[in-house]
Amino acid sequence: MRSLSILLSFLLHGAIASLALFFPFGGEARIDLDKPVYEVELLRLPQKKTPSKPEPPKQGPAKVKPPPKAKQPEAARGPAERRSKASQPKAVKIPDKQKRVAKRPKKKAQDKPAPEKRPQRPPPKPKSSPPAPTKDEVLAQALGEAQEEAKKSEESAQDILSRELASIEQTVDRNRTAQGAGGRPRGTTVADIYSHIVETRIKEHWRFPSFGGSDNLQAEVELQIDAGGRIIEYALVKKSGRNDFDRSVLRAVDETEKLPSPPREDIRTIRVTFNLQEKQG
Amino acid sequence: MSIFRLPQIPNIHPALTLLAAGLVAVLLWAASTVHAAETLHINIYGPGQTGLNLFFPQSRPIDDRAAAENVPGFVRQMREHLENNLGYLPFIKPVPQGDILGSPEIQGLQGGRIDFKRFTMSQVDILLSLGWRNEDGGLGRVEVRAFDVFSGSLILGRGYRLTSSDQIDEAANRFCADLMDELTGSSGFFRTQLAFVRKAEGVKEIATCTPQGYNVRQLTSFNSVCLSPAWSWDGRLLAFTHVSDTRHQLGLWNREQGRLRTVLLPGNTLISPTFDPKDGLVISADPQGNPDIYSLNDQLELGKALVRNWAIDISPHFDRTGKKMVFVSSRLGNPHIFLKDMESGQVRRITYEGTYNTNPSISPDGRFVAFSRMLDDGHRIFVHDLESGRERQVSFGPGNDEDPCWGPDSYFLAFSSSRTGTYQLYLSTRHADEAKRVPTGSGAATSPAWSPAEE
Repeated sequence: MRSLSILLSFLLHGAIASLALFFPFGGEARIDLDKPVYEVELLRLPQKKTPSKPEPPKQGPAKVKPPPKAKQPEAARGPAERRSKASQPKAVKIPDKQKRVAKRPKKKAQDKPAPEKRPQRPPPKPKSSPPAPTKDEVLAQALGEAQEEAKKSEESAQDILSRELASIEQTVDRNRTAQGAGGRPRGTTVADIYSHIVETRIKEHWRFPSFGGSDNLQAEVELQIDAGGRIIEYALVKKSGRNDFDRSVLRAVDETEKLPSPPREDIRTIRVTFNLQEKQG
Repeated sequence: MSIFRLPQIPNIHPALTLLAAGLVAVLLWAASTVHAAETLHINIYGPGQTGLNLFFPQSRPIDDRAAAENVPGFVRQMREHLENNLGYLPFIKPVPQGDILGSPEIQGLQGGRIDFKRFTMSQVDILLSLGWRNEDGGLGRVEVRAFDVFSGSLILGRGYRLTSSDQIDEAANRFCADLMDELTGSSGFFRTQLAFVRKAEGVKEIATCTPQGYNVRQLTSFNSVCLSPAWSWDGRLLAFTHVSDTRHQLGLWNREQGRLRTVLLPGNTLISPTFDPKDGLVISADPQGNPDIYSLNDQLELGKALVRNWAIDISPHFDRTGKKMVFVSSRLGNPHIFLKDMESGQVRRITYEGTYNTNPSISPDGRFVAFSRMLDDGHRIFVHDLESGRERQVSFGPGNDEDPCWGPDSYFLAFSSSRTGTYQLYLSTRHADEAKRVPTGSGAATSPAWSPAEE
């Protein structure tokens, strides 16, 4: 009996340990890398909040489309057929423009009313203010204006959202059409997106004289990153044959210091091939 | 003291065996679902920045005991020359003192005495140090070193004993040539000469200078008009057109002997002489009343026609191998650039845009053709890539940009421009880097011709 109870205890502990180790409790979101993801311009991705931002709007593109402002430019553009599709305004390039666009409407919202109202209001004010007894009226007016502005800013925010969603949809559509019939969806995985970000980050630190002949020098650096994206170790694994070129790529990695956190915990090793020549075509 | 021992199980119930086996299976399955570590592979094409950051701290005496404040004049001149020379290299970006974290001074001239970390953190790529010592019987000694900041290693170190002030620019030139060689594999720029046409008081003479505008020297004194200078591939001869009162002559200047001579050829016009690396001189002449392109024989007589056509064919220019020749032809009505394969004899059109494309110059490596194209707001320099067929505008005026000419490295371009009101020489690159003026003194300067690099 004693041995049986020990065995049972051993098995139970083992089972609990394995559950704790391998059962997905939902602490980390698992990512299906085979699922196609929106292909976006990575240079302009807001790198900190990218994962969380694009997701929520997915549900509501249909709701967001209607705002009238988005339709105005399209109406001016062209055929009725396109209008319906292009209630998504012209492919706005994503987040960076989000910022830009977000700034513009604010300015417009402030600027537009100002010039329109200023010429109109000043005359009435002196006339109405002396007789107008009412603080209430002034309050009401101020409230009204505030509400209008609030509405406008809401509209503009919605407007921006709708534009962004529209552009994402367009991109997805483009991807689908580009796949052609029968082809496996050529989606962009999270790892691809991360690779692009890493490429951009390191490239901006890479300095090498533009003198370049027609040789395409190549060097390869392998780097290890921690969970926070910090480069903890790097090494030249393939030399170019020119010391100054090799030094330049090591310097680029060294100066980069930190990358964004990798999207998956199994991504800890990155192998970067530095090519002297720009990509043709 | 108790010792834990795994119990021995003599007889296990089959159900328990099954349970244990199941558990092991579950464990194995779970382990297999854990992701294997993945290596991301990334390709980066082309550097993000095409320049190197260079910092040049204050010069120091070689002997630490000497007073660092009393910098002699020859050291200041040396520094000015070095800075000026490096200013002609578009891929060198000088870092201002204010951008250095902490003190911009260095503690010594040797690598072991320099704290490179401060410079690494300031994103400096190259650190230049200049040391000096007064010496009897001359100006003194200077030591110039270039360090790779990242590795702290010495890229280049040179010492020069200067006996007179006219050696200063030579020393600066030599150091910059060697440094450029280390950085790019080509030292051509600082070991070359520019020939050009200098116009003063209605007279056009041939002159030469370094690409930085040093040592301007007038070669001809015909008191008439000289045009279109062109260097031979060994740099020993300079050919040009001399327009006398009655007719054109071929002018030749022998660099080694310093001797000038003129040659009469049949016809009235002799335009744009050039050198074929295989067969010597080539020129556009009109012995039959129409300018065509001819090679000259050893006796400097018109030889075989390389291009003969009913139209006007001028401005031949060859690549280093002599296999490719570009020229201008009006065979299609307007002047356009054409390329002749000298082996197969095939001629193909290069320019399709614009209606007035002239002054072709093919890069020594045979890949790029620079030419000037007339646009609405003046002539501009374009570069045509023979490999990709792409064309790129590399000069942007204002005024007219004309007479492009390749440096021996197929990287630098010299051209003349009227952007300041008077035609002057400018340097740029095939990457359309900002044009830098070559100071050639008074008078207009046109038609640059770049010599091959001296060994």
